[in-house]
Amino acid sequence: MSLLKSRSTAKIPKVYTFRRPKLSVLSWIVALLWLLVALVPYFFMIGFGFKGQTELFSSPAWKPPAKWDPVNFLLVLQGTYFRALLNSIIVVVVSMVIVVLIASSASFAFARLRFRGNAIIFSAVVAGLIVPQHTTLIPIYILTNKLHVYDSLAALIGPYVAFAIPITIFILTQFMREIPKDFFEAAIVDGASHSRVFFKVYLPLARTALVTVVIFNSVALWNEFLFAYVLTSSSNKRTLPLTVFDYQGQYASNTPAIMAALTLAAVPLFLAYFIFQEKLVNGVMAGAIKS
Amino acid sequence: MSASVHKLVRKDGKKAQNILAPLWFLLPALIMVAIFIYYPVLATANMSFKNYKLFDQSNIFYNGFENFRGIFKDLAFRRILQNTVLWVTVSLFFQFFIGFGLALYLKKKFKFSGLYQSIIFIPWALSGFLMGLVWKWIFDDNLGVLNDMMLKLGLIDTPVPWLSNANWAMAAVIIANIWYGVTFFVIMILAALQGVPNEILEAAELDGCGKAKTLLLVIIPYIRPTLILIVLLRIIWITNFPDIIFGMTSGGPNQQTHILSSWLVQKITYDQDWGSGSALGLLMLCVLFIFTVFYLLATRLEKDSEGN
Repeated sequence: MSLLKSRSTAKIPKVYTFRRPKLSVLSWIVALLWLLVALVPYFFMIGFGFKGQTELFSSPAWKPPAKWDPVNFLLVLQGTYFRALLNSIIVVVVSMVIVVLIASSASFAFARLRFRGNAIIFSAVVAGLIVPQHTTLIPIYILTNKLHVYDSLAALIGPYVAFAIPITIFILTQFMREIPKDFFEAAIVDGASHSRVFFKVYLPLARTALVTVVIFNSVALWNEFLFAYVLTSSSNKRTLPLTVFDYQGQYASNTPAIMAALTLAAVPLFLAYFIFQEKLVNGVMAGAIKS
Repeated sequence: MSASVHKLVRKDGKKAQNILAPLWFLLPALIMVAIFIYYPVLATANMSFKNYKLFDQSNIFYNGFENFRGIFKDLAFRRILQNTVLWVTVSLFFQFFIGFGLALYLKKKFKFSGLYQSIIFIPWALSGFLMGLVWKWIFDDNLGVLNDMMLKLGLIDTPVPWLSNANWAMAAVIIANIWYGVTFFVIMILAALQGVPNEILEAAELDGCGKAKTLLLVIIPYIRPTLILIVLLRIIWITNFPDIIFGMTSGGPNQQTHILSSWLVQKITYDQDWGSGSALGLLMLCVLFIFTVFYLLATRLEKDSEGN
């Protein structure tokens, strides 16, 4: 969008302005090819979900189901699907609210406040990026038991928030450093407190970067598997990915039912992608890493 | 004059008053990171020197470097190390170039480009583990879609043992991983491309640069710092991403498709050998740390020698 705008205002003879962007035939082919590649696994997943168990083994995999029988989907929906959906929403929303609040305030401090050890503490936090989550699994499992939150949604919030913090602070601090320092100094000189400058100036100005980190982290947390697998066990505490995993044990041999469960698990994000469309990509890009 | 003096005093006063301010801004984030990242890493480091098996809790004791020795002596270790290198390099290579290509196309606006852009996200509609389950069915030796199609098209005469042969299985999990990770590069590179000022591009065109030349000599050097950073992030994330492997092969056949991180998860959850798992985790962390330091040094040195 901004590209187009700057183009139209550029004072360059018309001959030299870029041709109106058009996709060549080759580009179309590449775009369609990736579209196909991206969607193919889902086609089969959905198709398998409608097939009968014997049909799955007798008919060719690429053949559409003989009849579009939703029985597998109804089976899944009768289970804990909606409970799991709600759990996922709760965990992601709560985690994201906490992440945005505490990571943005820390980023503000890293970007604008002068204190001893700023660079070192910043590096120490961002270094959390390289820690494999699996390395922390056992201690966090033990900790969760000690805190008596094992097998609850609360157990997930801690690690989810913590592991989202390094990348979030990295992106937000970078973004806030780009906000002209004058804003900060002017506000301080006018007698505003740091927290006022943060809430009234920096937080609103960092909105685009916040959208980016929220989208990225939300998708990652929505799809998080390992912590949810280890820190919860009962079916009404499972998040969506884990509920489908549990179906896999429950309907071990009923592949169509598993595929139906997978399809239903993909529905929420499919819908989200479809509804938000280019807002999503623009949002992610606006605050993405620029060094 | 007096106004500025007044301001200075207030400024100083504020400063003195706010000496603790950074702390309040930082503390919540630091506490979370300390509890859920740093403390666990230290606890893991401690546990890696213990004989600690979940099914044998009466027999927990410090055993020196026994866990590390066990890992190096494991018959599967060499294979798993090779797999990890292969998994990271091949996945990264294809994800990067496919992602770069798509980003170049998507940079231009076209009809339905909004809709198309959201399709870029589509691989991320399911968690890696669940996506692995779907890919498992596509690669299935006997019932799989891929073998079925290739047989029909006459590309092969006998089904490819995609998941039962270790090498084919490794190829299969990497293909699935490439598919899953392209999205990241498209978004990140697209963002970087949008950051290239239009004036530079126009100047390049005025100077008679062709498309390829503009890309190689203008665009890529401009976004290079971003590329360096996202490649590093991606290497770390691919290394720490066992989900697809678990969904597709669980490391089988016979441990032959494990990478370090999936092996680690298996040690923790299935083998319940927490001592050995911790040792492996500590090793991974050290390797990643050393790699990151060298990577950053190397890219920075290069930059310095260019005179930036």
